[in-house]
Amino acid sequence: MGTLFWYLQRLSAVVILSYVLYVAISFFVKPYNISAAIWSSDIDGISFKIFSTLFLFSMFFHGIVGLKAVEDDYLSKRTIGFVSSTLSEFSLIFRIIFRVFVAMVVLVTTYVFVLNYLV
Amino acid sequence: MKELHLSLYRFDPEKDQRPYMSDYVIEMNDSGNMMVIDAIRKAQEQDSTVTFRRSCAQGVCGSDGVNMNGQNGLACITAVSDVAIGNKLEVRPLPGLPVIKDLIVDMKPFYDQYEKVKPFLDNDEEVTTGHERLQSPKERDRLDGLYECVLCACCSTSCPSFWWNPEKFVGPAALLQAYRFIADTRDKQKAQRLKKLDDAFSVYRCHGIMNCTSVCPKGLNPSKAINEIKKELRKIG
Repeated sequence: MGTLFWYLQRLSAVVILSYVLYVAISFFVKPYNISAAIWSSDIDGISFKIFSTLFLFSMFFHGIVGLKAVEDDYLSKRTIGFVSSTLSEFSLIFRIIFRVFVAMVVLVTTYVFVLNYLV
Repeated sequence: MKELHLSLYRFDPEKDQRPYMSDYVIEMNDSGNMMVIDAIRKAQEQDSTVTFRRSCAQGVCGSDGVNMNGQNGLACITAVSDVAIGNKLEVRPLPGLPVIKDLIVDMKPFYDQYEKVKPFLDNDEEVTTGHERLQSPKERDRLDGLYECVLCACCSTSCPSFWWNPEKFVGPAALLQAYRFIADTRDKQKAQRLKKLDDAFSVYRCHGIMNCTSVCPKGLNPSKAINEIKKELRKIG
């Protein structure tokens, strides 16, 4: 599992970087500042939609792997115990709050993305 | 340096509510320098309750690993002049391990990880050649820089991943030993050893910050060994 996640994290990073570079280069190469029509036709194109969807899921995956590491490292009973032994007793609650927050961000972003862009 | 202002971490769980620092003024020898362990011993002459662990005092046994002005190392082979800031030196126990008393830490979490990697040659094949299992000089060369570890724990206790997850992350010292046997052509458990390490924590918790390599008192490179394990893991997919 460790190696699989290692591969997926790097693959998702490649997708994210490619997307960012594509958008950044397009912004300078194409005359978006002259015509909003060019901008909107590009964004509404099926290939860009697929690329954007891939980017979104890559971002979620990449982010969740990173945030999981943050959760494991800094929201554990042991680590919170360095700050306060009383607070460390609530580490599970902190982890649940953290997970709910991450899940909400993923769900809301997906909802907004699908509703306002894909549909 | 004529005198050293030595500050030692003190904590006796049977007596103290909290750890504290004790200050000592140590007269340096004629050369104006000395090893950190000698400074600690001089402090012990002033206060016999100062507790620390030592054995060979020449960098072989690895028992006097401490944190000196923020850097882990062996007190017996570290000169005061290399770690003191001005004439001040603060010595604390190795970070991330439970303190038994003063500068002595409980090494159990460290040894537990060491045990996990099965640090011994595992080969069930019967020897029929009439001599020991041989290696070519090239195969033997691959083990250089891997077997010399003295298990002082300076590397693992300088690693944040080990601080946060000492039960799950194997840590640089044990991973160095794991690779020592993965790389050994006489060992027949390479696949099993790698499979056991292929999870989110054991190896992949290393993010390559290389604290381990920078503090190793024997000049070893656990970070490189960890990367070699990752490469081997990727080869088997």
